[in-house]
Amino acid sequence: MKIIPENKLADLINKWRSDARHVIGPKNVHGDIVFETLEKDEQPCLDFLNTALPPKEFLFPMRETILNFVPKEDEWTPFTNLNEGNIVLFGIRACDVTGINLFLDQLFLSDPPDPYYGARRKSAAIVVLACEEPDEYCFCPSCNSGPALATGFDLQLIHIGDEYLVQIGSPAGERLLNGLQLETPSMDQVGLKNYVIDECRKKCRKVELEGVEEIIKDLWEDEIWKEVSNYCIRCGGCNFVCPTCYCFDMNDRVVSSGHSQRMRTWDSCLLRGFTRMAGGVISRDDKFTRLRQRFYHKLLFWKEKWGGPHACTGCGRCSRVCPGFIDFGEVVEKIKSRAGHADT
Amino acid sequence: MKRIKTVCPYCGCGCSYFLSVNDGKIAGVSPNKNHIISRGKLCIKGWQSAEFIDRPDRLTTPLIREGEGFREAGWDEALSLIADELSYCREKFGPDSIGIFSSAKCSNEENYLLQKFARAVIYTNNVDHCARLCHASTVAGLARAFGSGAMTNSIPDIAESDIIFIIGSNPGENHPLVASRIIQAVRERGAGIILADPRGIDLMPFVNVHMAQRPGTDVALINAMMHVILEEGLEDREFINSRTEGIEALEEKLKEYTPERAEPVTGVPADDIRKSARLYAGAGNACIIYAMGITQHSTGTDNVLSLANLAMLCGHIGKPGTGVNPLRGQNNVQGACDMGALPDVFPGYQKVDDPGTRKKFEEAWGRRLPETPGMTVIEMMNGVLTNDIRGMYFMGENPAVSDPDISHVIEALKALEFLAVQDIFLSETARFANVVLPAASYAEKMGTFTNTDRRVQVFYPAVEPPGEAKADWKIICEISSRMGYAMKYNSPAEIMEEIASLTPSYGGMSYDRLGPDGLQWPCTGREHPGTPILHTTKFTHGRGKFHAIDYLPPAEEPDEEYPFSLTTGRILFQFHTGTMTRRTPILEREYPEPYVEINPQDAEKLGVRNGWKVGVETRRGRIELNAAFKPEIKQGTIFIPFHFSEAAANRLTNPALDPVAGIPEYKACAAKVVRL
Ligand code: SF4
Ligand code: SF4
Ligand code: SF4
Repeated sequence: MKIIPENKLADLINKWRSDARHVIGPKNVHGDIVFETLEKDEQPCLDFLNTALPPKEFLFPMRETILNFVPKEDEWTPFTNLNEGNIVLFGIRACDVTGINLFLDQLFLSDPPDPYYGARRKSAAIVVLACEEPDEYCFCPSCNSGPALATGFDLQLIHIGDEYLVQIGSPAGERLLNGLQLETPSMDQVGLKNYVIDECRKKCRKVELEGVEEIIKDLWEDEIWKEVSNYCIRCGGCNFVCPTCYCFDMNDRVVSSGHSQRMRTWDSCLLRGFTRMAGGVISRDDKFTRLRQRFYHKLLFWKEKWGGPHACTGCGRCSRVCPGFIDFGEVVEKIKSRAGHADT
Repeated sequence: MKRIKTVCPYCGCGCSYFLSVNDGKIAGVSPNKNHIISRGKLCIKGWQSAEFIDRPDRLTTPLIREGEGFREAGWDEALSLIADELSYCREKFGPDSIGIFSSAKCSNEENYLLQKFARAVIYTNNVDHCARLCHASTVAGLARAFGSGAMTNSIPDIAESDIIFIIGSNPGENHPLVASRIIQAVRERGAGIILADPRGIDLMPFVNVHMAQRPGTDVALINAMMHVILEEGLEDREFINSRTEGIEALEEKLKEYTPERAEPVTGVPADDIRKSARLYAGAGNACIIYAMGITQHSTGTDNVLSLANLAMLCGHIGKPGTGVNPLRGQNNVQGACDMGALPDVFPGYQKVDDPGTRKKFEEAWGRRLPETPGMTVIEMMNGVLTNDIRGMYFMGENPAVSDPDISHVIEALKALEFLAVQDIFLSETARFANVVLPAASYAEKMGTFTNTDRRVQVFYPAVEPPGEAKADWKIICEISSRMGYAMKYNSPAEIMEEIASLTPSYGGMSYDRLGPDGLQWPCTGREHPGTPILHTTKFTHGRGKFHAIDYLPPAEEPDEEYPFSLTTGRILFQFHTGTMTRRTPILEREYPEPYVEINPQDAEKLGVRNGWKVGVETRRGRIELNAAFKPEIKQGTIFIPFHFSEAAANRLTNPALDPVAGIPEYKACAAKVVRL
């Protein structure tokens, strides 16, 4: 553990840049906080409620060209430069790192691994900034994924007064601090760190997920899905913003005769076309079946397939983004209130 | 990665978000949590709005017709050719032989320049755009009733309504972020929804009373509601006395419109009319939301006037959560109207036939200006076939899919002596052009758009235009200069300064003031904070005017031969002529094929099953498409989305026009369905 004064953070970022790393960090753009490349001399904004999009897009972009090919001749060449250089994801939140570590890694790095994700993941250093202040939708403590992490980062910063306490989580993290003279924190500072995290945790909303997988099992035919899906306006946003959602669509496009491209873009299971099959059959044509799929995936299917926690990090984004105000926590409460009343 | 603030190119909600840019390429879309309309939310079109920008089939060089096809050309050649041809038309046939279509997809600055080009350079008022096809009747109707032809309240304000009367609008599909506010009102205030719609809408589960009127019977319905309100003494006398005029004639007129008499005309049970009238009149705050289902009729202006009557009768206007709120369909259709891309007005709805106004513009622009109002979109198209129009210039419009009775439009496009089109793709219309110019998309230029709640917002360039494509405003400047009228602007901000100096309602607008949420007009001076709600203490023209309106049936009613009433519209996942959405794989995947919605009972009588191909025919044409069963649609009514050129609904629609606004009757015509 180290201590770095607020006014020294700039040195750290400059050092990474001079090591030819791409630093991505939170910035204020037209009054909103978004992750951007921190160009020369630019410093991040460190006091922010979490961003609208999770940083998963730096590992699994919203849209990318993954192949260039010559149609018919069975010829293809990979397009993306798989050695894009090293990036530092600076100031990302604990819930979003959990999304990467437990869900995206599991999916994309399991055999057979996804080369695009794999290459980016390998070259990315993760520097967490623990939260001091949740908003009304955050419930990471209920998912054991924040406001700070125990493991799974290269570095983790925790704001205590005028300083940041720096936890080193990996040899790569150690290297990120190479060449900087940093003090070791005092007992009091470590105590302060625990206090800061606890205070934030206390302010977070509670969404108790334990056991919900058992209840939801019996609710496949329940009215709840129709009731809730009445509010869904089919925007797909809850999928796009979720740090544990990873579905994508592939489509080819002709650039010129003799040159086509294969694109990969984020997809959404809330959309009707998601289950469109050749011949036009759509297996989840009713809106409620799609909404049901999403909640079953988060609360049951993922767990059944991979074990581990529910596929939710408590980031609250799906609630914030929903034009119909469908709230993850409220739906969980509804599910739990149906315990024992199941129709089936 | 960089994030560039932009404004959605699709509907009139005016959501703002960021385009993500990586190494000069569009990497995606990122919501803007801080924006007053979108609040970090978007609809699926917004989420997918990055996809069409870098399609390989974007236009990248000017094209000049050669035989049946085109050859690539340089800018110089293409621009000179346009300047020469337009000059030739003007000399030989007179300036009014030229017709100009401006665009609700282009910025305010571009619309301003194009109408200036028409008036000052060509010397014609023949400039119009697709608002003619959507809200011309709103502009005409609300201007008569209130003095200002725009949404009276603001989108955020809808969340403060207790009763929301939705008529001829399907916000869940067409204005999703307005639907979001409606849902908020339902959730937070327990707001009720009254719906008048023959087809049913996306927000059906929240509707308290559904009046499924026959297409084109809105005046009868609204008059009957007002009859009930007067009969039961539910009107707001104080408001009527202090703020309005003309109630007597209306009261007289309404006597005959009992709900019982309206029932056989509209097909709505008299009891539902009574219930709706009581709910609307009795609400604390009640707002009216309407769209194309009201305006796109041969009685469009009458429909709008009737809604204005209803709101004034109950005093539901000029306060939060109330008002008469037309939802505008395109991201900048409000702005294109504000900028005077209309044949009868300069920017800010200042009349061209008013000598004082003309003098002001003549002095500012240094040219004599034409006095008589010009032709509308529809009149110009008709004018081609009568040889009144010889040359046309289209900025980003696609009438070969969007206009009514398109067989007729295509005939006209073929008959033109000269047609120039600037667009981002080779649209169905551009295929008929002599010269096609490659334009920059919204992501590649700067400018302002004005959304449906009169909010002027800046969007910024995210990437370079492809190939040699250029921003529309630059193209207009170059043609103008080549025709002997120098237009020199360094940036859209400079054009806005000129707009502000000539347009009172935009008087206080300038780029340095247009912050994250923009400013709502009227904004008359540097210190003016903008106007979220119109008509708060008095109407724009003083007292609100009631109009006594008679019900007139649609120009074409179902009969023995054509027993169905056909109505058309948009769906959530496609947009207009599909130039952008049909190039967006995830949107196209939702509804890739044209279809006709039909009530299952009607279908059964025809022996047609869900998904079968059927023929739909009217007196103007025939198309073939799949039947889609829709239990909510009123029997005897069918609905076809107009996005699909392979089965274009507008081969069928009736070009009968509203006499005041010249808007065509897209929403009602007689049709038959045949089993194939
Ligand atoms: S389900 Fe919702 S709260 Fe949970 S991780 Fe996904 S977006 Fe966040
Ligand atoms: S965010 Fe809400 S409206 Fe959008 S798809 Fe998800 S549930 Fe539906
Ligand atoms: S609601 Fe309208 S403006 Fe907003 S994202 Fe959707 S199409 Fe764009």
